Amino acid sequence: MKTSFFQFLKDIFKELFSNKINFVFMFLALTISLVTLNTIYSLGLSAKKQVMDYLANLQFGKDAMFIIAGGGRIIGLTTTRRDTLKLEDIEEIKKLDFVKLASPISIGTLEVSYKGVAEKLKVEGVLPNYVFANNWYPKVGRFINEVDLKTMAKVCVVGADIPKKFNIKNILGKKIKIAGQYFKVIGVLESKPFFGHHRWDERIFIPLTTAQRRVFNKDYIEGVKLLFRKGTDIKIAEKKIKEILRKRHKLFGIEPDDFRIITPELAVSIFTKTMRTINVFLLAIALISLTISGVIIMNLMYANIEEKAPVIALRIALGADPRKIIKHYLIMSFFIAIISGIVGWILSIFLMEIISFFTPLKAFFSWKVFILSLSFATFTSITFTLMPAIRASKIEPAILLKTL
Amino acid sequence: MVKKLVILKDITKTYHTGKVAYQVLKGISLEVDEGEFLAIMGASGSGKSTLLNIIGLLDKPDSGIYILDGQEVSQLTKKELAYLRNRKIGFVFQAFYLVPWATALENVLLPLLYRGKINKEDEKKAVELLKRLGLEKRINAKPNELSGGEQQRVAIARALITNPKLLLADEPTGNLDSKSSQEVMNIFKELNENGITIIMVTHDPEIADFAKKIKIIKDGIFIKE
Repeated sequence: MKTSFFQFLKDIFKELFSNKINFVFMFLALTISLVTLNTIYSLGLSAKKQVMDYLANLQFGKDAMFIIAGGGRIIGLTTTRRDTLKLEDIEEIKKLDFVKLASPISIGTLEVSYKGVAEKLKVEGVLPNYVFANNWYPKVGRFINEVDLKTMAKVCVVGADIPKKFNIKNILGKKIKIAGQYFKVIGVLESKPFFGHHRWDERIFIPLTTAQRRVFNKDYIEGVKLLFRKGTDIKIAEKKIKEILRKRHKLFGIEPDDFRIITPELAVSIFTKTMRTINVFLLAIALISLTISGVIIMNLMYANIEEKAPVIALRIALGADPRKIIKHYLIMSFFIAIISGIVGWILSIFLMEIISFFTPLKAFFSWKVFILSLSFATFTSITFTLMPAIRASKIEPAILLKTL
Repeated sequence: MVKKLVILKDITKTYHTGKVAYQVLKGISLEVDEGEFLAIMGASGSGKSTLLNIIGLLDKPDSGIYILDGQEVSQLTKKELAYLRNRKIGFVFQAFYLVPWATALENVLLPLLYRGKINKEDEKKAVELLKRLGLEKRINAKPNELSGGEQQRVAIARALITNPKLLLADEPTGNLDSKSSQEVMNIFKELNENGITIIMVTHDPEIADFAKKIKIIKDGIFIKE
């Protein structure tokens, strides 16, 4: 026994394909805007994932935090003193039971030279635990150790691009000049992908003690990276650390913080903020184009109904009630939506592959986008077919007998 | 006593075109017995098609009473009217009105689509109807592959698939040559002999002669029995 639903669908498809041009245009209108929407949305997700991967690579996962000296906005100039963050503060923070590791940094841009080649580069004074804090290990040689720290040794570990920059072969053991003093190279770090203007591979690391006493001559640090034990509530951690620092820095009442705390979430939002603005803009365009598709579909549906008016009148005369007629056209538009949704999604994957070939953005496969594509297609198609379908259901069957 | 299938009492219908009102039916009363074959004749504009629309539940009268098969129908909703059209009435139109993208068989089955289920027996019945009307070789043909006479026979099969009590025909031979017209009218006669009530609108006296009874409508009222 066949149910009439199958027959009903067959009838709808036959009607739909009886005017192929009409169908193709409805399909194209919807598909093109869906490709745009999917691609923009996917690339947005992809970029965010890239940022996340990058941060994860820096050991800046969800159990990490940065404290930077100096208060103010996250990006921009500090508005308070920035010489108040001390190693003693770090010692105090380390006492918190959820803190697994604290890696303080003293940083400055200094002139680095080797055999007449000079460059202004970022030099960081760090502890041996820096490698664990950042998941970054030497490719050759070794990293700074406790002995280097105690003796304030003039040794350095360099980023992967440094040997090339100064054209030094077999760099281990060579001495490079940093701010007028000679430092022996004891290791070269693995290459680290850079993002924006953070060229990790062009940095030079020296013992923190050496940096503070022999190079920068200061007792404060620029920042500290903290790693927490698994399962630490980052909000509570942030609050406790804030309390400690404010108390130690004697900040009370409405006095602003003289430090900034950067959580991974915050970092992602900084990285993606600009991108998001652009994305919102592009998504708006995509949605507008989807609306235009909707209007095109509505138009073509009206034309279709106009053209099929005698058939619709016939259906009504033969016993189709108004709801059946509406259902007929809504199912038709649903079918167009599904086809366009799937094709739009597949095409957007191809388009992304092409885009990723020319730009640093990576193609991104996601079922979420597939569902998004289908829902937007269905929503647009059905919404804009509703009016024509209602119009169709109101066709007077009496027009069939207008011979008088 | 023969049962009355259609009872119309003082039916009026006025069309408004802009500000001009045009009364098409001016108080028509009509009784049609079961098993009747009635031809309604009249010139164009006489109101015969409007009357057929009202009898076929495709249009509503402005006033008057219409009892179809014992049921007062002038106050029913669109959905209820659709239901009654589907169950009780078969239509044959001058321009055939076959669905162009559907085969002869699918066209015949169309009324059943709005009933719920189409099963194998329905399909068998449709094929038999087409055979009876001499279309056994055209079952899977599309309307544009059929001659006018063949198309009208498909339309008759479509009207008969629901076993209607009442068959309404609006100029059924209007688009046919004389040979096909004869064929179609012979089918009608045979159907009527088998018990189906037929009301047919025509302006052709030769065609009207096939009916058992002729009524002439002029300016919205019957003038002669």
